Amino acid sequence: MEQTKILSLHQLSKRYGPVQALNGVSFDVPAGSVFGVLGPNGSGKTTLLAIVMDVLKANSGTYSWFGQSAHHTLRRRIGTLLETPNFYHYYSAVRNLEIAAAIKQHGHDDIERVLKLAGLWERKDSKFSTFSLGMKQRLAIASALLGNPEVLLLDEPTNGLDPAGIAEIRDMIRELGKQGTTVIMASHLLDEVEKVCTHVAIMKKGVLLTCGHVDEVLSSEDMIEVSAPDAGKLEQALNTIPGLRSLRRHNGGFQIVLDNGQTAEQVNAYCFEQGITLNYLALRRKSLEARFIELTN
Amino acid sequence: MTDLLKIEWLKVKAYRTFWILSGLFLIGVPLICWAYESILLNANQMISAYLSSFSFPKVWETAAWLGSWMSPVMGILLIISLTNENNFRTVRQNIIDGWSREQFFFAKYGTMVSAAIFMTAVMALTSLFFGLKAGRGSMGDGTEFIWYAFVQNMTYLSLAFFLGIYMRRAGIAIAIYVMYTYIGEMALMGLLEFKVKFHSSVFLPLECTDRLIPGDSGIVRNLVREGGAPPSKTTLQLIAFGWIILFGFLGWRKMKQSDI
Repeated sequence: MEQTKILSLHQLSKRYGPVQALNGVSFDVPAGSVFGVLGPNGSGKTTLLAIVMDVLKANSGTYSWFGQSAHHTLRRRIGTLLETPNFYHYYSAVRNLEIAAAIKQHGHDDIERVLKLAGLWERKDSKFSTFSLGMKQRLAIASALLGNPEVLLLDEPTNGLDPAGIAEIRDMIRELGKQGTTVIMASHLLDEVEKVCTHVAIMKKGVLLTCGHVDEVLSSEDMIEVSAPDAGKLEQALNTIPGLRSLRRHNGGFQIVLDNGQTAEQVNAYCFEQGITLNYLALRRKSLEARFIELTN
Repeated sequence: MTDLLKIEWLKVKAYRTFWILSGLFLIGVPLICWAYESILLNANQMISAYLSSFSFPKVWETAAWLGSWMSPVMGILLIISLTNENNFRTVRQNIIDGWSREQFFFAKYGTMVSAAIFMTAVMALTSLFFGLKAGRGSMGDGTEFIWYAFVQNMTYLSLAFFLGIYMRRAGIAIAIYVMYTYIGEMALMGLLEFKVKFHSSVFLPLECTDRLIPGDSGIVRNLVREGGAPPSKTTLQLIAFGWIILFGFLGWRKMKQSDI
């Protein structure tokens, strides 16, 4: 059975003067997924999310939410944190959330819950202008959570947060994903995405490089980690190994990706033939970081 | 529309600048009338009696004319409210949270019309107070100046609305607005009247309503008049509405089409 699509993009393009920020991007976000949009700075992640929230206008292409043409009432079903926390500086956390709740057409009864969830209840009456960057980010997350939205759209949600805050947000996203909330998250922190996402789309310079389930994107991309007492000699040998696709230094050793069919045993044998005795050999699933670097370089 | 205005009210009801500037206008209009009345009474009783500026029906016009000197205060408040939305990027947040761009525009336009109604009410109540105090003339006559005051307030606020939508920085927008309302248009008017064609300045956005409510400055205007019939009140209102619609349309187009 085909999965329900929460968000569908079709050939979205956006240009800022001479800069092509998005170039014909198309993909679908399945319901219930934790969907990571990855890309280096300037890859078009925020532009993409801003277009689907109607704050930027695409030059061409279309998108739909919940299988329907874009409409402002549909945005009330989505909790969004886009780029920076945007609030009235002269108002307290509570007053700001009252305005957000009124626009979303929710009552004020959920404000206490989301402020407690974001760890801001004690500062509920403090002016937004007195908040630290991390607190502003927490308030933006609280605002996005108002009314238990069906979809969360988070752009760099851990910006400005301390390590404990990052872990809290990560756990929260994972938990919401388990409860069935669809989470769309843009980030350049790959570790963060790899830990929580079920699906990823990788972008570079406005172009979609790959998209799909994390397992699909990373499939057949096993990686072999090796090290030897003489790293220089090992590197020389690895560079001549048949079927080598990529090689990079990692923790004093090397991570290599070979064409399909090559095994760790064959690598060991090859090195031995070259007069190198390995002191470390391990088969690893390629990390998202490695896959990302491979795709974006 | 009521729901949109309720949300706009939430945005300003605890905003100190809103209360200070609104209060300044509320106090400023009767204060400026009181000051003018005092000058007339102390300067020359004959002139004062001749002008009858604070007796019905003339008081409706006088309060609207003097009150217009305070109108830019409310224009500044409107500019601050609009540029705040840009600077704090809350315009983005409002759209993200579920408003359409049209709803955002109409919320702001509704706020502007509400401000014009408030300003007109302050001017009308001031007229009533001074007219009853003077105790002469018929209160029912000259009430068309309440409508003219509303039209004038709408033109002053429409210009502020246009600047507030198009300019991100409050300081620059306010500087342009104040310079234009107090000096710029007067200079343009002088140039158009005496270098181009007499009465051509009626096409300026504020001059059209300034002529609708000339107040005691009408005497000076008549003195320097070089001939030719002045435009009718209907023509002046049509020009004013032309500007109100144009400023509104440009604001709507910007809101509807641009990235925010």
